[in-house]
Amino acid sequence: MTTVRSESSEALRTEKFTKKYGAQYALDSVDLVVPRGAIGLLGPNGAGKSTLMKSLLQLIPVDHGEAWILGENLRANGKDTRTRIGYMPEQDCHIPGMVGCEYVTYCAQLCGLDFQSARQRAHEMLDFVGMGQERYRKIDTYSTGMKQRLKLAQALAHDPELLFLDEPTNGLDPRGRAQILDLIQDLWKTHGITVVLSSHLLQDVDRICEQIIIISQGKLLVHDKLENLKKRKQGVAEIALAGKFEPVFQACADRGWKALELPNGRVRIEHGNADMQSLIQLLKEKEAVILEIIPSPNALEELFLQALDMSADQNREASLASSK
Amino acid sequence: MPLHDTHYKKWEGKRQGIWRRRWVIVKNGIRLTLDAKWSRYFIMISWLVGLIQASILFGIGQLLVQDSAISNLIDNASPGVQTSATMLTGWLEDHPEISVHTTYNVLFYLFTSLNQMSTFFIIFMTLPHLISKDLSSQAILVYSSKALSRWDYILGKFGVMMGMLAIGWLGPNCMAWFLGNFLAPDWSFFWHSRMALVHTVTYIGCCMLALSVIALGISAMSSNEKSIGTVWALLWFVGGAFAPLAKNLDRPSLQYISLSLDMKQWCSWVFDLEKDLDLLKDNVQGFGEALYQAALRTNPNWLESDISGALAGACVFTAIAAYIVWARVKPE
Repeated sequence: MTTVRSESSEALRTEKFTKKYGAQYALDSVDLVVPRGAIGLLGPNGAGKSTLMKSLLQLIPVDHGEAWILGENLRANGKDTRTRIGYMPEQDCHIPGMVGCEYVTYCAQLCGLDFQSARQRAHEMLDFVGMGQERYRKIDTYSTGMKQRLKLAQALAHDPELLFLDEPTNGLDPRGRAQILDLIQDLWKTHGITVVLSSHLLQDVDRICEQIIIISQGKLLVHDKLENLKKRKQGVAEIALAGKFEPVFQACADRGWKALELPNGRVRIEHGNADMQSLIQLLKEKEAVILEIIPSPNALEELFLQALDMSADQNREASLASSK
Repeated sequence: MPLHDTHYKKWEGKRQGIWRRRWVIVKNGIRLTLDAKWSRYFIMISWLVGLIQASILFGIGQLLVQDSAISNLIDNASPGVQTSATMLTGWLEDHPEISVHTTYNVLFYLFTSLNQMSTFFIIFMTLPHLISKDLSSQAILVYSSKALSRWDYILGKFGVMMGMLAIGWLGPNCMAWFLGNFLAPDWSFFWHSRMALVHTVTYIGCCMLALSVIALGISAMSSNEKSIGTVWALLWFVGGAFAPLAKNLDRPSLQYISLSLDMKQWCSWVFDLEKDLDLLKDNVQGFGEALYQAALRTNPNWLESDISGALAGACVFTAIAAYIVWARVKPE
């Protein structure tokens, strides 16, 4: 079977994408145009992140709207398009009684690979996710971390162009988490596989994603490049300094800038300028030894919280209106 | 450090079609079912019964061979057995087209009915591997996220049940027919006994279709293996016990709640034994009467088989099962 692939530069597009559970909107008329890349999907619990992913994979039917993945309309070519998509679900979904290697082989076969290719591919992907001899053990005996790696391997087994990852670092220790994030980053940067990463861990998203989508209560709150989002939070810098802080603090106070020593020994300065020139100039004047400057630190976290606050305000207003 | 390249690699191959992917589900389901030793035991028992059946057919064929071991054995048997054997031998020699067909048809009827019990166990062992375990482990999510529709998944699982029944029920019967004829003294046995094979395949094939849908329905009812096993046992045994009760209560239509009775009625209708048994009784004294009595024991209602009631009963079961499958098999 040959699949005609459309070489669309768009990874995802949705128009008025709506899903309701009773009276509750899980997705509320979501309009998105997402270019290929590493995309972070953020939102609080119950925001609709998983619903959006599952709707795009046609695991749950939507009530209204259209969607295109990799240029293909889901309603018309949903099943064929899924041969080009990988999905790593949040929850465990292995087949009882199978060993790891068999499971990945089976998943690859379900995507249309013949047995020989599927078996070879399974070993390659299990190597890639860092699983050793455990691959010959029954999945039921795996630790949470191993199951996460296995889920990633099965999602990659058929060499997808687009990968949906739902909380991929859940249950991993810090080392495992770093390894998995490195692998995911490598997928887009080196191999051009578009990655949609849903997570509530902002550091994970900050580390590997170039684009950010924030949704809350089924509504699209923010969709932009991380770079642009960080620009919105310009005027704040976190600096690691050697030596005394007092002269810097005094100079900041003289200019009306807010400076604060953080528990990690760094200094946070709110200088309010679009670029860092004036701050660097000030530090030079005070002969401060700069070890590191991080422009717009925690920008993502602040934006995220801001978006949530906005959403909460809207809720409050809505509930007030309904009570009246 | 690994000795080989562990970096991500691209795959440049040709994807297989949807029927291959469905076949993968079938193969995997059968493999997982046969991983359980009890499944293998029941399958072995079915094949042993098939071998016994083939041996009986071989024995009948050997009656035509002078100085065969069977002939020598019968020479030393009781006068009743000797009379039956002589009559059967004469009948086989004079009218092979009738006698071979009749004997095979009756024997295959008896053996397919006898094998009905093994289908109960085969289905019992396969039930968890159909849908139930996928519900409990949420593996349906994996199937649905691949290039498969709900229909593909159901069709694959249906194939698992059909495959298991083919291995444990249809296979042994077909093997017995082939082996019995292969070892017969004359190749014409293949031709004369063809209708027995047609009847067997028709009966078992139709039962396999209905039972596979019913099994899928039961498997989709719960994610708990014990629960679905209990439901299947209740449907088989309580339904079976209900049939005579319904008849005694003067509500004969209710007897078709029994799945096993429906199958027996279908079997009697397909094999259409009335004429064959009369022929056997008339031509082979003793042996014919014994087969007649055996046929009566397998299904006391065979002379009054109401096929429409049995078909209606089976259709209702199948329809309910199909609805349960469609309602329960969802990725979310």
